[in-house]
Amino acid sequence: MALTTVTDYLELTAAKFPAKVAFADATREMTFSELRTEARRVASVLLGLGLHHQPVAVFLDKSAVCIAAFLGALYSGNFYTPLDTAMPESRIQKILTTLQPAVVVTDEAHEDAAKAFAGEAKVLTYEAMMRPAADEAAVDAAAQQVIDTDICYVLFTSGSTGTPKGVIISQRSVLDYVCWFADTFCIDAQNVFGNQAPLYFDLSIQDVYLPIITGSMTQLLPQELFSFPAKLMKILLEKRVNAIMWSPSALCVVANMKGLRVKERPDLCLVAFCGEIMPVKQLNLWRDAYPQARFINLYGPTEACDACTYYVIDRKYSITETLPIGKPCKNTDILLLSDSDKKITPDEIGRIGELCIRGTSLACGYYADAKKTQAAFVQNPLNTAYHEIIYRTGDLVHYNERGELMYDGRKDFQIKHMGYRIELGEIETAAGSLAGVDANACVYDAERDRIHIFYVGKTDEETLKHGLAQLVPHYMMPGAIHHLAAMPLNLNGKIDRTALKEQVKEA
Amino acid sequence: MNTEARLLAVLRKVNKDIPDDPDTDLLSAHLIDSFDMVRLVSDIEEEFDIELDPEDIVPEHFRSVKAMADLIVAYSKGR
Repeated sequence: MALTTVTDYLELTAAKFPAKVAFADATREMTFSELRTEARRVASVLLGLGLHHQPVAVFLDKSAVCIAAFLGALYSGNFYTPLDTAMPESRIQKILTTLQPAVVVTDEAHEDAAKAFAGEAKVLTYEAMMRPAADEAAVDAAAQQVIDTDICYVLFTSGSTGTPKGVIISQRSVLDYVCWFADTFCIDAQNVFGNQAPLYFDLSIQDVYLPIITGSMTQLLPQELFSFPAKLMKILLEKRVNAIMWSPSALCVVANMKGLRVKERPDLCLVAFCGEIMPVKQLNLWRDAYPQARFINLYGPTEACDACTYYVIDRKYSITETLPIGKPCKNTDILLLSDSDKKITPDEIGRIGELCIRGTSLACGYYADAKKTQAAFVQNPLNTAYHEIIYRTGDLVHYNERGELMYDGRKDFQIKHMGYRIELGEIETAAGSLAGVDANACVYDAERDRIHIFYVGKTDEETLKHGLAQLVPHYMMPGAIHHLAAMPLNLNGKIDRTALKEQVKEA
Repeated sequence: MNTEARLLAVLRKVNKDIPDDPDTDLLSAHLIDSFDMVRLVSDIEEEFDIELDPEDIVPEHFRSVKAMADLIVAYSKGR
């Protein structure tokens, strides 16, 4: 029988490898059998509340238990949204306003914090959910009703109006991507992945789902370890990690802090990265350290379930070159559209167009936001005969002479910083909400990967920084704050961003 | 200027909020994160003209101003 849902795969894998560890964190190693049992207990409680096709907000530290909670939502025919325990409360509030979840799943350690923001939503602790045995028949019945177009998760990304957008991903999109990943890179029960990305970031999707599909294992690594590469590498070695998919920023931290020169290093056979441009200088240090490993550059927006193109690094690169983003993943089609929505073909070497995606991987749009959904998920302009949706990424790309896709940059103000997609407008909205900030504008210095904020008003830089840190995640914090006497304006009376960019360049 | 004062100047270029107290646990107070660490290591190496072994870039040596100063002194003596 064909497997169509995530829990179909978990049932199969848990039967095949019951005593094998699926997920491990600093405090717990969870076997496939335990994962199945605990997820079904979570599901049983959710079913008891009568929830069906509802969002389940999960407010837990990155852990094996957190993944069991995700799967509990899926067993019960619901879907999940991860809320990071380190997220500023104002961001959580915005997410909850859009999502309106009926329940928040947390643990005893975070129960008070969850109750503070939960509002109408019922707060459930994992510990309490583990006490009663699951109503197995009810869980089986609920799981069997799930179809592959049902939602798996809603992940929130940065939105330009200051409101994060909830990208809706179906079960079949997740399975399409993760099964492709497993087939293409030969992932099986021998593989141990070292997870770097937070679980609210789609760079973690293969870390979460490869074990369920292939019987591999994922070791969840705390963020703090990434400050100390020698220690990180030692732990990867001890945990027998042999594959990683990290953000280029994380790979660079390790390379820049001599983490590749330590004696105690893991034996890696796969080094994959996604989410931003990987600098060749640091890539070469990694390749020198792991000459036998396969290095993969992946590209994709959250709206296409993590990755939609990939490039297996097959030749030497000098530091002045950029890596291709390669070719489409199987079962994904990439269209390059010109300004007038005409198709750009691989023969038109160097001609820049907008990258648009067609396929099963596409999100079902943005949660409770029909307007933004309609703007980005549009009828394929090349097809006038029948209904066919494509996603317009807003990313500009071209074909090189080898027919590989090359990334050129963003069409709008959205930027990539430290692997995260950020709308500068969201930072501006947050800064603008602070007392004593009269006007502000953010510009991004791509060369130095730095966000600059310029502002006018009574408040001093320190107060602005403190205030902003309460409103936006750490990765959105500007690297430089400039207090101006007056904001430069252009002829239309708008903030002159070009002038600000010049100022950044001269600095 | 002594080692601690020079080190404080380096640290404050990375984060202005670093307190005077040499025993404050900067890591658990989240006053230094992984992106700060990259810059901090290279700034310390430049300021004190030393080259840190990767095996010495561990939490125990970077937990506080005092721990970092001790590490720097040990490197300076070893030359």
